[in-house]
Amino acid sequence: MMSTPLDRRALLSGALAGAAALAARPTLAQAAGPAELRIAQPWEVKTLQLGESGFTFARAGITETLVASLPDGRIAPGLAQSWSVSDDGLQWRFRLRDAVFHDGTRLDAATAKASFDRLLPQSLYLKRAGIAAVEADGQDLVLKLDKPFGPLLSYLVDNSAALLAPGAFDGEGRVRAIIGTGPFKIGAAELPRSLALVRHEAYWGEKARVAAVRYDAVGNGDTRTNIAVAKDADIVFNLAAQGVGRAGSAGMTIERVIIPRTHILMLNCAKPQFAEAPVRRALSMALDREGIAAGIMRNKALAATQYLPPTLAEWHFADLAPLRQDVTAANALLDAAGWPRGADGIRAKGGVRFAGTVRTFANRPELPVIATAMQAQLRAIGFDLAISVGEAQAIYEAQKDGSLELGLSSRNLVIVPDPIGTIALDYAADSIAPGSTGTTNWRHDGVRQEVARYLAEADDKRRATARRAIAGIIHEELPIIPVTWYDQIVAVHPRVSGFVTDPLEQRYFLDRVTIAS
Amino acid sequence: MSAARSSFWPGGAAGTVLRIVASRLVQAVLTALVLASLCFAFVQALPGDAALRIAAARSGDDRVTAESVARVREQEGLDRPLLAQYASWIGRLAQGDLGHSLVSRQPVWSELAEHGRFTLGLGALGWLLSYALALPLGIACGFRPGGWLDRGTNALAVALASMPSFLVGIGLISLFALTLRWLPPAGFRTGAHMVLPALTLALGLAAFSVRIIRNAVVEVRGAFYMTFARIRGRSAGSAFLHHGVRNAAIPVATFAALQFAYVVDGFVVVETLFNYPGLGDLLVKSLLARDVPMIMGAGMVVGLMYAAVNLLADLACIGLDPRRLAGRSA
Repeated sequence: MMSTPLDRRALLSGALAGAAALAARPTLAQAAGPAELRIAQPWEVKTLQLGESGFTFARAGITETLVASLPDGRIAPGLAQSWSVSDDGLQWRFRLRDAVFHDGTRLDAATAKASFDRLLPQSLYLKRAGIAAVEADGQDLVLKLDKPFGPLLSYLVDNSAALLAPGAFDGEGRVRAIIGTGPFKIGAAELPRSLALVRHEAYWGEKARVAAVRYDAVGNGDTRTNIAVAKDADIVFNLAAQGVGRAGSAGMTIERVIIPRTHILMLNCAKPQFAEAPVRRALSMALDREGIAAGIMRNKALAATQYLPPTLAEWHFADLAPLRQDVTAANALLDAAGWPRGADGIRAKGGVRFAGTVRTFANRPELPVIATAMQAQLRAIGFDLAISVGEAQAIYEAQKDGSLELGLSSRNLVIVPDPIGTIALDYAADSIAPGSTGTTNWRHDGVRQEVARYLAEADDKRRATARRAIAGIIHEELPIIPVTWYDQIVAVHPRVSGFVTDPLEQRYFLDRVTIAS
Repeated sequence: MSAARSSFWPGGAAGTVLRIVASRLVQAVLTALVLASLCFAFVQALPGDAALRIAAARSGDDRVTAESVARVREQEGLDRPLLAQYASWIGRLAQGDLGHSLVSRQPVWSELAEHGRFTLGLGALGWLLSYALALPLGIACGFRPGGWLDRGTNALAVALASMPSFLVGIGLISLFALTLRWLPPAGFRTGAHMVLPALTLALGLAAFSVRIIRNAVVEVRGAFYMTFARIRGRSAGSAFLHHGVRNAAIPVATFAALQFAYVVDGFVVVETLFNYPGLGDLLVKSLLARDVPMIMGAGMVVGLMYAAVNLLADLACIGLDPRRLAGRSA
């Protein structure tokens, strides 16, 4: 079926000298087969273990969980068609739907339990939900908890514990093949860079509209832009902001959506420069977020007015005073806090210079540039910022050994759809987690109590109160200073219709996409 | 077979050649071992926790947990003393096992073979293409030194040699992929995907080799034996074909081998730009992830490849000029 485009490409490769004669031909991308949807996205599939690559399999529509999140954040039935919870909140009963794994095995409570038994211990977030036992009861899967856990449904979207067929595991319980239930199954894999997906014909829901998907990892942002401009892929995820104009001019449709990711300035609150909340607020007020968002992120709307972006409607509060630049007020706060300026314009107090080194990394190319912009902006309030660009892990290591002064990093707030998962780790944990990019030497009992209350609470109204309290405290205290939010930019080929962006990035909904012939 | 060999290396030199090959092989294996050991030492000397970086490489920075780091440390034996880790690698190597990647958990050998296949394919194509360009141009320039073609080629070669390969690649992508739309801008699946990266490599390599060829031709054409051939009545072309080519080929063969050795260890920038899964790409990612077995394996293989290519170049030079054996057979 693929012989036509392959032959034409092979012919072209041998005909470089006569390339001018081909000028009138359609592009190679346009000549690709209409039945195959071509995806270019940045993440390689390094391993088959769901704790490591589960998000890729879920986004591509290969694996599914008991419940699913919708683009607006609501939780919807997934492999469980319905569920109920006992009055004491300790027993959750999920009625499984009539689904079939990619290898033909039927999903039933026993296979679901077997999958949970293997994957739950190594899951990223679900293991924190306090699931004490998983039981099969007819067509129902029963989860028994140690104590009530309010956001359990959100945690069940954790794709590191997606349901896999018994044949997916080896004798030691490790995943040896991805045999899920999703609308697509893996036809061939060239790990880490490519997956060839084919439609799962026995899918329980509406079947995918395209028969095949080529899912390629393209790590370099400029290369993804070139692929978009050449229309050599149907959907290009994580397009660099600088490439939007070129891809748009080439005829690609550009979709932009603010996702729950925040670029943050981390402060070591044990250092005298950052120990007091008014000083941290002054540092925050020195930042020209709108300038950074417009000039570096190329989208003014990304200026972070609070930690959690508006995409997370339940966690974003219009009544919180927006974080904005106000250099005069910042200087007044610092004067009042007893940090006078020295002869060189840099403030000092009790022999401590108002200065620090920010550690950042270049995997996200915008971060060192933002650090440079902040360097100039902080100087206006008498703070001397030095910049150290290295590995992302060096920030965590410096947090652990206490040497961190400042860190400029990026936080994905929704590994599971409810950001309480990351907030609990970042603001209310006793130890620093390697991937958390959370607070450093900051402890607030109020936040801890509210987080604990939220996690244990099933009632929506009381949870909303806890949410507001948590957001309010971290907004006032600023142990981490939000700088910008982040937008997912997707270039979509004009032959594609039905594409849906998921701000939570849990799924790409490729099954809903159609391709014009 | 032996008749053919004696005609290529006359005077019963086959034994000497075999001795050279054997001695070079022993040297190559020892060099590769030293290289791999140095890789181990250098990676261990880097600051930071290797288990953390391996866990991050497996799952991404956002998804690393204390448990996943601890699991890597325990399962991969990174909590053992360095000497024990090194001894275990040597022990496995003695049984022909290069170990497995700490990131993908796949055997090092299969990862190297997979990426090496792409690098060798593209490297060979780029290398051949460079000589397809450089040989006729270099010879033509050597025949008319100082002429318009020589001066023009020199200017172009200097421009290409001074340009970083990513710039050449971006230029080619802009023209052939984004403007003319003749070729795909990135990828690795079809012949068409190889054209632009191969051309990027070829232009960079040809920029140097065209001058080497040109100079070799100029030198040979000025040699006394060429004058003698002309006196005997041979035309310039015939004299060059019969007496010049073999002599001019010696420096060119050595340089060409060095260039091939340069391309077989990967070409990171070109691979990244064209999303091409070669050895350079693998090596850089392995270094960032502190994937020690992968780095050591790659170090060994690249070292052996360099040695093999140099050996082939030496053998080619001996074939072209058997007098080189005289000193060695004593």
